[in-house]
Amino acid sequence: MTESILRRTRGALALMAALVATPAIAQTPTIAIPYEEYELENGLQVILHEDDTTPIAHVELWYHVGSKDEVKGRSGFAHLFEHLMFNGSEHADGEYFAPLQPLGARINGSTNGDRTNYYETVPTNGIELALWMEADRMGFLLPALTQQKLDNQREVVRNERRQRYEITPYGEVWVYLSEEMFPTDHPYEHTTIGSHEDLEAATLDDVKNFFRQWYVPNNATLVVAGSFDKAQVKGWIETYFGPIPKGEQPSPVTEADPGVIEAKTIEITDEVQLPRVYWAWGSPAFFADGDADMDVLSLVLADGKNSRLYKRLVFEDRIAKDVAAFQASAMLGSRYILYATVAPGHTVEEVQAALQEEIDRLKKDGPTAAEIERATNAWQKSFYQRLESVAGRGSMLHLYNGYTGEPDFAQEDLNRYTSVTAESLSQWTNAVLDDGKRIELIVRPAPKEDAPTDGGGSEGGAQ
Amino acid sequence: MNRALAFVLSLSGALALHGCCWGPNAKTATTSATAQPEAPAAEAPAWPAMPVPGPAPSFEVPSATSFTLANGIPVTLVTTGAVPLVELQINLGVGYAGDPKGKEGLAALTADMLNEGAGDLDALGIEDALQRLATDLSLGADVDSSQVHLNALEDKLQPSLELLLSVLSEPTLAQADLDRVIEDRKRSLLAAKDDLPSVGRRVFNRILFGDGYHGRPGGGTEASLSSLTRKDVTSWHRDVWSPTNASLVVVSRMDQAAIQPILDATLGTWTADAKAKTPEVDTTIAEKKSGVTVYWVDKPGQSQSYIRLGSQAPGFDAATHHLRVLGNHPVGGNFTARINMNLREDKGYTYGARSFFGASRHAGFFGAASSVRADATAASITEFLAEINGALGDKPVSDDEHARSVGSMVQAQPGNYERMSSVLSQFAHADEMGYPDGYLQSAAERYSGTTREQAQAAFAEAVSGNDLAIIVVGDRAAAGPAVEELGFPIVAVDDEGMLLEE
Repeated sequence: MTESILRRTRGALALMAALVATPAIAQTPTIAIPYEEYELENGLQVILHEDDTTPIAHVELWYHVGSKDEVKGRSGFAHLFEHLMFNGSEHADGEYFAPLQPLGARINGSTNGDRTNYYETVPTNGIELALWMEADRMGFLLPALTQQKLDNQREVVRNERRQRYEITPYGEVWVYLSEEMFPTDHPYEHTTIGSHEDLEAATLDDVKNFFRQWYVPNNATLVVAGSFDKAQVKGWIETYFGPIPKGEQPSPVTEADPGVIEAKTIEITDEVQLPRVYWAWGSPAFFADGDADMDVLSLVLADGKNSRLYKRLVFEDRIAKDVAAFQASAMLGSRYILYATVAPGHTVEEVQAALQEEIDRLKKDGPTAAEIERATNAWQKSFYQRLESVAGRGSMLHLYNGYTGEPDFAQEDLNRYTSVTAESLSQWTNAVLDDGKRIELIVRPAPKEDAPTDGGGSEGGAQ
Repeated sequence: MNRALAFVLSLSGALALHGCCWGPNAKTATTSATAQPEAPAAEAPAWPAMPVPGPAPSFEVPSATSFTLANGIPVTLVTTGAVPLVELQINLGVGYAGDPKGKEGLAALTADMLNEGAGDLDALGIEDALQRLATDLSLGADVDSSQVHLNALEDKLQPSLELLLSVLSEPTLAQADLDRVIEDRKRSLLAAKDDLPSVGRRVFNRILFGDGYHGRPGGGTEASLSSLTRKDVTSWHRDVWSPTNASLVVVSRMDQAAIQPILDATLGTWTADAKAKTPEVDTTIAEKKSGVTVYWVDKPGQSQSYIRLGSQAPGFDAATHHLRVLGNHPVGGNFTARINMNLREDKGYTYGARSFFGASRHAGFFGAASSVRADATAASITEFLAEINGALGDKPVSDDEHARSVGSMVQAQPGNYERMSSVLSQFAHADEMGYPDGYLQSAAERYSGTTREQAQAAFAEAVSGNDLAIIVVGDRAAAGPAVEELGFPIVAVDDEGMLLEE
C-alpha cells in the first residue's frame, strides 16, 4: 500500500516536470490515495488509508453540520458546540487534551459554514486512545456537560471573536460580506463565529438538542490515515464506535436559493491606517463547474509580481500597498473576493479605477497562455505537497467525501485544475465578475480624536 | 508555488474558524452546582476503560552527511523524502543584528533587493523564470543570519540553482528598485501599527534589549529606512552575501554522489569579492532591567488588549536549552499548561495564553503573551504573575506535570520529520544556531534524561517574578485605571517602544 502511493506520487511528479518543461504537452499526471471504505451498523462511515512511511497516524472525524445548519437567533452555535466537545465526556471528564498531550499529539477542531471536524495526529501507540476519546465524546458527551462549561466556553468564543474579527485589522468585513452577499435567512447570511448577542443567548438545552440532532454516528465520517494494522484498527473502531446507537437521520441543508445580488457599495470604518477596497461576487459552489477556474483566476490576478493586479496597482502605479484575490469555496455557493489596500498618498478612487480597468481588460482579452501555465504549475505543485503527510492525505479524503460524496476524487480534483484553459477562464471571469452584481465594501480609517480626517489615504504617509 | 496555495488556503481560513479548544480546568470540571447530568446517550454497560498507550514506536531522526563545495561552502545533506522535491536553505552568518546603528533594516532590505533584478533579468523576469520552473524562492534576514530558502522539483534543481547563483552573485541593485522596495517596507511598517500583537512583539524587544543586540527592529523604522542608500546595499551585499559567510542545508532524495555535482556546478562556483569584509556584529546585550514596569501602547477603541510580559534570559546553549524548554512547558508551553488553563479555561479572559523561551545565538528571553478582553487586562496580568510566581514558589511543577511534558516533547519527534520542509527547518535551524553534531538525533534522550528538579532549576534561574517588563497594547482609557491599581509604574510608549512624554 505504501509502496503504491509513493510510486504513483513519484510518477505523477515526473510527469508534471515534463509538463513544466514542455507546456505544449497537455498531459495530466496520475495520482491516487488508496483507501478502504465501509460503514458500521449504526451508520458511521469509515475510511482507512494505510501508509507506513512514518510511525504516526491521523485520526479525523467530520460531523456533517456547520453554521449553515444553525437556527435563527443562534448564530455561532455550531462553533460554540465544537468548543464544548473538548471539555470532557462521561468517561474522560476533564481535559480532552490531557490523555493525548503526553504523546506529543497534534489536536484541534474547526467549524465552517458546512461542516465541523476534529482530529488527532498521534504516534502509532496513540491510535487506540484517540479512537476511544473520539468515541467517548460521540457517545457520552451530555453526562459531563455543565452550565459552568458552557459559560466558560461562551466567554472563550467571544474572545475568539474579538481576537479574529475585532482587533484584527479589517476583520469585521467578514460580517458584512456574509450579510450583504446572501439574502435574508440564507444559511450563509451570518458568520460562523456568530454575534455576541446570539452567543449570549445560547442555553444548555440548546447544547443538548444540538448534540442529539447532529452528533449521531449516522451523521459522521471517520478517517484514519497512517501507519497501522488494518485488522486491529477495524477492531478498535467496532469496539468503541459500534455500540453508539444510530440516531434519527439528520438533514443538513444541501441547497439554498442564492437570491439576486444587486450591485451596491457599503462604507465602514475600522481602526486602521489605510483604506481598503473590497469587491465581491457570488461564484460557483465548491467543486462545481467554474470553481477551479476561479482559483486559477486568483493566481492570475494577485499571486506574484507578474500577476495583473499586483503588477498594475502595487508594482507599477504604486497606488496600492497590497492586493489579494481568492475564491472562498463553499457548499451552497461561493464568494469571489478581491481587495486592494490604498497606499499612503493615494485615493480609493484611483484604486477603484485601476481595478476596473484591469478586470475589464482581462474580461475582454482573456488570459495569456503563460498565465495559465504559471497558475496551473503552481496548483499542481501545491497539490503534491499536500500529499506529503498523512494528515494532508486524511484531510483530502474527508474533503472529497464531504463535498463530492466520493473519497476517490484526488485525480479528478487535479484534473479540474489542469483542464483550465484560457477559454474556460475567460468564460467564468465574464460570468462571475459582473459589474451589475458586485458588492463593494470600502473600509476607511476611523476618525482620530486629535486630527481631522480627510477620509483619504494620505494620513501617516512618508514624513 | 507552495506560497500560492498557502495563500488561497489561509484566506479561506479567515472565513472558516480553525480553532478551538479543549478541556476544562480539572478543578472545575467534575462538580458544579448547576450540573445537569443525565443518562448516557448510549447503553454501554461495559464501556471499555480508557486504553493505556504502549511504548512509543521506534523512530530515528534522520542523520546528515557533511561535505564541502569547491569554493569552501559547507554542506549539510539529509537524504530522505518520498517525493522528487528538493528543499534547500543557505544561511549567511550575519543577520540584522549586524545592521549599522541608524541603518536598521539594511539586512532585510538587501535580502529583498536580490531578486529585484540579476544578470539579464529584471524583477518580473526573475519571477517569471521561477514560476515556469515551479520553484519557490524566498530571501530574508533574522537576528543572526541572512537566509535563502528554495524549493524546487528534483529535475529542475540545476536550472533553479543557476538562477539562484545569479541572484546571489550578480544582483542589479538598481536605484529605482531600491526606492520602490524602501517604500514598500515603509508601507508595511505603517500597516503593522494596526496589528496589536505585532506592535507588542516589537516593543517587547525594544524594552528588553534597547539599542543593543536583539533590541533593534529588523524591519527598520521610518527614519532608518529613509537613511538607506544604494551604497549601503551594495556594500552589505558584497560583505555579507559572500560564499565565505555561507553554509548550505539540503533535504533531498538524492545522496551525496548524485547531488554534489549539481551543487558544485552552480553554488560551488560562487566567488567572494576581493574587497569583501564581513561586518563585525556587536553582540553586547543591554543591561537587564529590574523591577516590574508596565509599558503601555495606547490603542483607543480596541475590545482586547494584547499583553506580552517577560525578561531577558540566557541565549541558546546546547547544554541547557532543553532544560528551560521543559521547565516552561507545564507552566505555559502548551494548551494544557497552567497559564492557559487559568486565563482561558477557568477565567474566560482570552482565546489562548502561552509562555515561552526565545533564543538567538547570543541573547534570549522569557515571555508570556495573550490577547485578553479589554476589561480583564488588569486581572489577566494578575493571573500571569500568579502562575509565574506560583511555579517559582509554593506551586512547583509536579512529577506528573513534568512527565507529561517529557512525553510530549519526545513523542512529537516523528511528526517533526514527516515532511521534507519540516526536516529542512529542523536542520537549517541547527545550522544557524550552531547545534553540536548529533544534537537533533539525541533530542529524545536529552528530554527523557531531564529530571523535574533540573527543569525547575533552569526555569527559576532564567525567570524572576520581580523583574518583568509588562507590555500592554490596548485602550488605556478603558483598561488603564484597573491596571494602575496593581501598583506597578506605568510608562507610555509609542509603536516602536520609545518613551512618550506624559
